[in-house]
Amino acid sequence: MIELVRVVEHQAALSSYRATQDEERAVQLELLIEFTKQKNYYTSWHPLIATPFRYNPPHPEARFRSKFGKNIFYGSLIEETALYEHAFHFMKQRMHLNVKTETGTRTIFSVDSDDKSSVNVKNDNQLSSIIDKNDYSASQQFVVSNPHATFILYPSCRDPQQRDNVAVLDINRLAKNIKWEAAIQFFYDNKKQRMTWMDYSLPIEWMDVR
Amino acid sequence: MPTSAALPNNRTSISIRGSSPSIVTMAGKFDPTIAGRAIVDGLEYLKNRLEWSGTKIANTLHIPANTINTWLKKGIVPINSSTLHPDMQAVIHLLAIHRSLEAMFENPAHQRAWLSTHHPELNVIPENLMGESIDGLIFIRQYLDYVRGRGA
Repeated sequence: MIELVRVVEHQAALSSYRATQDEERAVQLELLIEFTKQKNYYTSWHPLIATPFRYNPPHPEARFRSKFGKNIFYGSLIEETALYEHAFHFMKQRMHLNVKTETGTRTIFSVDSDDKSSVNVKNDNQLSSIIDKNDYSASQQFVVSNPHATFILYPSCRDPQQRDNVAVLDINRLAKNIKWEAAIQFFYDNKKQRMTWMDYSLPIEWMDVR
Repeated sequence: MPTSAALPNNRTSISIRGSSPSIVTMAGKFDPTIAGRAIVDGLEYLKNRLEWSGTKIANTLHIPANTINTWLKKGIVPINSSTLHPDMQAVIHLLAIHRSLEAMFENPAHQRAWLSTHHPELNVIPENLMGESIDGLIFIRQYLDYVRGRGA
């Protein structure tokens, strides 16, 4: 077993409570939103683990996942790598906006995973293409060429030290509950193109992760 | 703990989230009357945070403005069964988009900026696509679900 770490935004349900200022109504609003989503077939797993496996294709393309590819749970072997990964996706949704600064919290959590028969792309002769920062085609081809790989270790292209990430393509490789979790704070400066994880004293520049 | 960075001090080793009753397990408790009021609360909250008028909501959803404004005035949206009418589904899609934006951006000005600024990855202004068709609305909803999952 190996421990995987992931950072997510996990505060969406609070919005219904803020909107209604009433618990009964908030539950009903959440229920309506749930009705109009695809059914979650993995209710015995914690929502943070099940969600990446919830939606049917077509998907937005991602590393190792084509438009009609398998669902994937992405994790990192250490927290710092997960923070770099999250920072990339966070800043990508803000770089084009005319905004100044932002503060907030995110959830960091870990889950145990079965790494038996894992596949490591480190020695693949296509490695640099597989971990390309913007082009996911080589990584998607890797999955096509390795159809039985459901636990793929790969160096993070967002972490300056290229420490390992994992793509888990089968939810059965993941524990049903999370191991630990924490709320972590960030400060984001759009002009400086920098996100700082305050609990870790870790500033991350857009230039480092883009 | 596998890390090379400093640790936050508010970590918990055991999560009780998974053991709490979720809305999925509460599906039998759906109440159309309370749900109808909750939708109006959601729309009023969206109007306030995004600075949208009832007419803008109506235009985005392709629902007559009179219908939206009547719902808001009466404080309830009529829901007759647990099978949602397509108009009602469109309303829920819009509320789900706002729910995602609320989670991504604490500052409502940033939510408005995201909706009204040309998005480099989508190559479109999100609120324009939302107003084009129900497919556009669903696309933006699913895109936000996806990017939130990745870390936005």
